[in-house]
Amino acid sequence: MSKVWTALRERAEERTLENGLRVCYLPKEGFGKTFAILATNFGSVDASFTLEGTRYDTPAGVAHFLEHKMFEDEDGNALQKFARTGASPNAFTSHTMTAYHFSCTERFEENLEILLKFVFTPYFTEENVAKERGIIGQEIGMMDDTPGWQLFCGALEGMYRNHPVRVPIAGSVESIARITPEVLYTCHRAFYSPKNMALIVCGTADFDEVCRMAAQYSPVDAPEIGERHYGERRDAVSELTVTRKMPVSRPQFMLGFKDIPLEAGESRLRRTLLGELAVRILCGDTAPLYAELYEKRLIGRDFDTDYMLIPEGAMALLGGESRDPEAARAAIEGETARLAREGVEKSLFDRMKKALYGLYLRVLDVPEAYARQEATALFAGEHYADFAALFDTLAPEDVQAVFARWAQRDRSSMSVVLPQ
Amino acid sequence: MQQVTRKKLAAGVNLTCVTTPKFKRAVLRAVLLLPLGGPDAARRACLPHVLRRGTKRLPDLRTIGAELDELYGARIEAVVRKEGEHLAVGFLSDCIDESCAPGADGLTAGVIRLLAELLCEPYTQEGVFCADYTAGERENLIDLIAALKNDPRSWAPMRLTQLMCAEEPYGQPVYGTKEQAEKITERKLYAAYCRALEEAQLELFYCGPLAPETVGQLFAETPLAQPRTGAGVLSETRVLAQPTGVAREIIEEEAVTQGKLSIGFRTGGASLTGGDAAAYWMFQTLYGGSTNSKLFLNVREKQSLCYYASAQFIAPKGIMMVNSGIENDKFTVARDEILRQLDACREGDITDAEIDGARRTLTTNWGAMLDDPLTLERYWLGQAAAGTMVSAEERIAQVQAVDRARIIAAAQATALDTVYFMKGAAQ
Repeated sequence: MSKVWTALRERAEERTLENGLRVCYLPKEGFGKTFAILATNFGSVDASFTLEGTRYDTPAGVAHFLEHKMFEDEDGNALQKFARTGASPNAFTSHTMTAYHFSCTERFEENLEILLKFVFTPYFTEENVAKERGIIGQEIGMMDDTPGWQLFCGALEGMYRNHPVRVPIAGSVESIARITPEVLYTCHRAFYSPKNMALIVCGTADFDEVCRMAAQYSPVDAPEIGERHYGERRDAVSELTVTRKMPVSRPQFMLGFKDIPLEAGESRLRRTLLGELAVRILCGDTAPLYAELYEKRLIGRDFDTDYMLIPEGAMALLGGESRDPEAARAAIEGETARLAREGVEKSLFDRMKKALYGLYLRVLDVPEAYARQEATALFAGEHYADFAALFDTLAPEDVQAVFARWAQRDRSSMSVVLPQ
Repeated sequence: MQQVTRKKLAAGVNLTCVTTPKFKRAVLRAVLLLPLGGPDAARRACLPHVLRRGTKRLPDLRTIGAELDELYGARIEAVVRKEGEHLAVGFLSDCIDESCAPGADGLTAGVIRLLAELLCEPYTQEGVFCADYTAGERENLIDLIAALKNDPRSWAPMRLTQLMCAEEPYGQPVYGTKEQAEKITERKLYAAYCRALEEAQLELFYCGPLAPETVGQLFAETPLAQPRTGAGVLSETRVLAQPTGVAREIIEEEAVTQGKLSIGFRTGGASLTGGDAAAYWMFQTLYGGSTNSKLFLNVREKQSLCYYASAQFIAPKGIMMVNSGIENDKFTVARDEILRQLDACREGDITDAEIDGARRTLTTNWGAMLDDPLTLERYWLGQAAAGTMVSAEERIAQVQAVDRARIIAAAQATALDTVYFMKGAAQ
């Protein structure tokens, strides 16, 4: 199936293979580089699930551990196979997705074959799993020393009491000690099923050949994942404030507003646009409140905003360094209440929408970012480039309704990292 | 081939244009090139941030923010960047191409106008910078200098550079010192601004679909194209082919859990403008520049000594650095293994597959750069600061011709200068 967005000068070819694997090609005329990403709808939050009638509760960090271990095959390490072709490969595990990708300027099909083969071929032994614990242990140590990451983890901990998003993506040295080859094989079988995955190619490729190769190297057998368990849902945050002490020169804060999860039938992309628009109107770097707080030195240039959707959850996040996190929090919560009460001025709404449109448009130029956004959109049955049409459906009242939810009692939590 | 043109718009004012229809955005930049370090260092680092606070026409962040939103979310960021032994201060912008949205005609001209206003028509009070803006940005700078140590992974290489190049401008802190920053006043800053405007070479850049003549014309209509008769010839970055004394080892304790090991080398003179740079890139890539490199395979994969270990060739200055995160008790073994892998390269223990892989990695990296306007901006500013104009395509062609003998020669020319270990001392 072919899709065209004339105004954006963009096009997509899409096909679902017989085993359920979704394949999508986003041509980029004039680009010398081609980027391919093979993603599974499996992140750190998917630690408890039911497969073929059996419930599994796996140790924290298993999705990330699996990501590390997938590169290894019986006939060597995929990273080295890519290095021989000159491709630049990598992978990431987020709360909601694990993805493997490469970019190359030549020998695309050879690289695609390496990617498909290693992701669909699990190879775990007691020995190679034990060795990986050492490397991941080092990575966990590094994250423990990274204030920005600790701040983010604190925010998630503050907002969610039961949801697994409150557990760090890589787990802990203790939890990964319980990861065995058997656990990894089970998770691979459950979540690396073609039905749960998508392949996106952005750049220059022959779409039919991509589909043919994807069919050849992905398994015919595609088990269906049963239920995923995210714990009992609560509207209220878990803690109003979460504090950590680290060797930082100034206090840092991240304020989170807990939003309602995506509703059945609701467009994921539209909700993301709405959430991002709201958080930018509230205190994005061109917003009136941002200017006020910046002038008072309650926030600095590193201040950033984000809106994040997870299964059975959603949140807005705002944060950075501050000489007085409590004062910054009070001002942001005050503005949220005012916007919920009074609504958003039309001219402010219009210019912010225009700016957000520009930001979304620019992503189309960055194959890595575009393909990643496309993977997220595909898992929700959408295309990233649909954003242009969805912009027309956003009205000031929609944003006001978002603020009304954020302004309710017990919907905000602040994470702070203080100097030791 | 991408069309790259470089044109002198006026004395001391150069415009580099990368013309291509393939992007939906445009990247623009206007920076002053100044010598690194010196008594004005902190003031220069503070300057673009004070300028970013307000212009004659748009006196505060609110009005600038509203203007940027109307320009479809154009971003304009203050730049304080080290390029060899030069400091670039000014602004970088990234905006949509005007053909991509309804009613966006004239957007590029609007962004260029705003860049010019920010750099040349600041908001002033009584003939100097606004006292509030200056005070705020002075404090931000003091905080920024103190915060450099917050991220151990970026701090360790920075600290190594300071130690290794202590006697060279390259070792001077980019943002100046805390003591310098504390003395910033609106009057002194304004004087430094006037000096910088007078002495600096102005480097303009555009990447996007518009023809170079059109872009040149748009810049020419702004004060950015005023002749800069006081701008002298750009000084050259000094490259030391060899360390000045015997190799040093410096250990410092910080309150972190994981140790950071950074090792600095002199390259025998290979740099952007001298020596056999192409061979050096090949050597650095197979030594520690990819997941197929000796450092990655041996230090990380075989011995599990670290999560990362990689080598960077800092071509503008002609130095190489190896950075790694290790457990505190692994310092000696990790250092020895990193140096042992260097010895292996020197002795010619290099396979054809490694050479081929390195060549392909470099080809991919430079080739991919042509698809990224922000990376192109950085690349071309680096070239401008070094006084050269070698394109990525030419770099790719150069490494095709590098043979084993030249790679071994590059490894043999490499000399250990300084070992820096930041030892984790967290409880």
